[in-house]
Amino acid sequence: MVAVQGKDTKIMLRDVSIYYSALHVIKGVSMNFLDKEITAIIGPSGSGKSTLLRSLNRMNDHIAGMRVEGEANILGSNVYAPSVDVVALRRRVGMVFQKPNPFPKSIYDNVAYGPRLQGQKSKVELDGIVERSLTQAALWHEVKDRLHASGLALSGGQQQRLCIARALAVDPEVLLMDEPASALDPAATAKIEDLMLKLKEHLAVVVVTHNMQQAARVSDFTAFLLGGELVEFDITRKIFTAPTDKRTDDYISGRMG
Amino acid sequence: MRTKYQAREIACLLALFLTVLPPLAAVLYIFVQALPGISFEYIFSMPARRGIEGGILPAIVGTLWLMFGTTLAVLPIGVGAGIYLAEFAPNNRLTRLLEMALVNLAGVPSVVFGLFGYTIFVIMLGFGPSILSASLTLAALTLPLVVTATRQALYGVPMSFREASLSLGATRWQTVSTIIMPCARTGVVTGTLLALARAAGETAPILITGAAFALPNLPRSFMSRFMALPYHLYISVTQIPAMPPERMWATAGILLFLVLAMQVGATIWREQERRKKQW
Repeated sequence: MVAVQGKDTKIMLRDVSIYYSALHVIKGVSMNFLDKEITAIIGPSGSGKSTLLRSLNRMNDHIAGMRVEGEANILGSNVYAPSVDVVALRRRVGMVFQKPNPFPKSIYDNVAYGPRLQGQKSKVELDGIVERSLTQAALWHEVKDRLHASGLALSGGQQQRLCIARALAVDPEVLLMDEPASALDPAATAKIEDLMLKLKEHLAVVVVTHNMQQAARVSDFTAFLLGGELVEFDITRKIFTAPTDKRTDDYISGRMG
Repeated sequence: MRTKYQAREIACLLALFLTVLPPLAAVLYIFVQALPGISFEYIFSMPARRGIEGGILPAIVGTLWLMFGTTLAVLPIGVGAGIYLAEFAPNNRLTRLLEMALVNLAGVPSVVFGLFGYTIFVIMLGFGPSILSASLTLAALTLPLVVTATRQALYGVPMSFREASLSLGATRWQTVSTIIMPCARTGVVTGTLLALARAAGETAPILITGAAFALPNLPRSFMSRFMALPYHLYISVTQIPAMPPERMWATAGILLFLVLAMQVGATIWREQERRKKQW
């Protein structure tokens, strides 16, 4: 397995294991996530993709009996060290969820939510952040005349882009995307994929997907997870054309999963 | 077969009628009986000759004071406890014990709350027989209802809102105060209104914590003794043989109107908010 490395490593996992009580969900995963690259995590249902992703911004913390072993070094610090400020971590590691989940607030208030939490009160500043974030999320032109309409009045694809804009508004260095297009139609999915390619110019993107075509289309690196084990991790083209492990070959060619 | 099922359906329908019709008939009957006794004087003047003449203004005002005092006490504590249970409590034995205590507390007879209030507020804390003591007693009685209503309202807010907020770097408290509570507001307010409607009609808890049958003036402060509609009615019926029946019906009618207005108002408001809700 090629160890993916670069000087702009944003996340470095070393022998990370995750347990839910007695259940060993992630088994000794070691991998790096690079800046300005899209890393896809693929694998069949129940392989631990989402668990791994959500451990990167500690969104699993509330699950009773959850335990992490190994080192998850994110943006320079071990995120499971007791001294880590989870709130500060999540501001730097943003997340987009499977199902669009805008707040029942206006489009503007959705995007301004994160900056406001951090104490940003200036109307001028907030206006700027809202416009910039919506533009980055390729939604500005569709909503600029109705910023004060409810975020829930948008279509599914627009809602997901609103959620992306909301995550971008706090200026994260890493964006975690948990099957961000699985609830969307093909046209909306294509927009999200285009968007991901633009986003990686600024930050590290990690995307969990069960859609292999999507992984092949957008990602630079692909990790194949099976039963909580990292089977193979390499440049996406290599994973999809010349996988080294037979299980990877079986999965991408549809003989498994 | 078909007729057999139909017979069961009709039996259930009949059971429903038996449940709904008698109370409905009673309510109508009370209103009809109350009308002759209700007058401007009856509502807006002080009682005279041990309540046999004059009006019941102090009882109406006293009940409103009680509702106000109960709200002030029950809202922060009940909502706070509900928020803790729904959003912060760890899933452990102590939490489950507290939840169980809460459920059982709701089943404690109201006269027991009266004794509790008498012992704690009237005697031990030295508040004496007063609106304060009675309001705190009614607050204790309605607390489980408000806590439960708050919890239910909070559970009704989708988990995905919490996740989105936390993922944006909100603390759990910021998530509760900026996202969850605004979404749960309707449920909390209607739950509290329904609990207050229950409290408004209670007699036993105020019996020994400060209610008086007839007072010549309106309460001046939370430390005053007070008249209240249910207690006035209870004494009128049981202790004052000379009380004209239409005056008793009138008291009952006014109390019933107050309670129903709160319940119906809460229900209508909840339905309106529910229709506006987008999630």
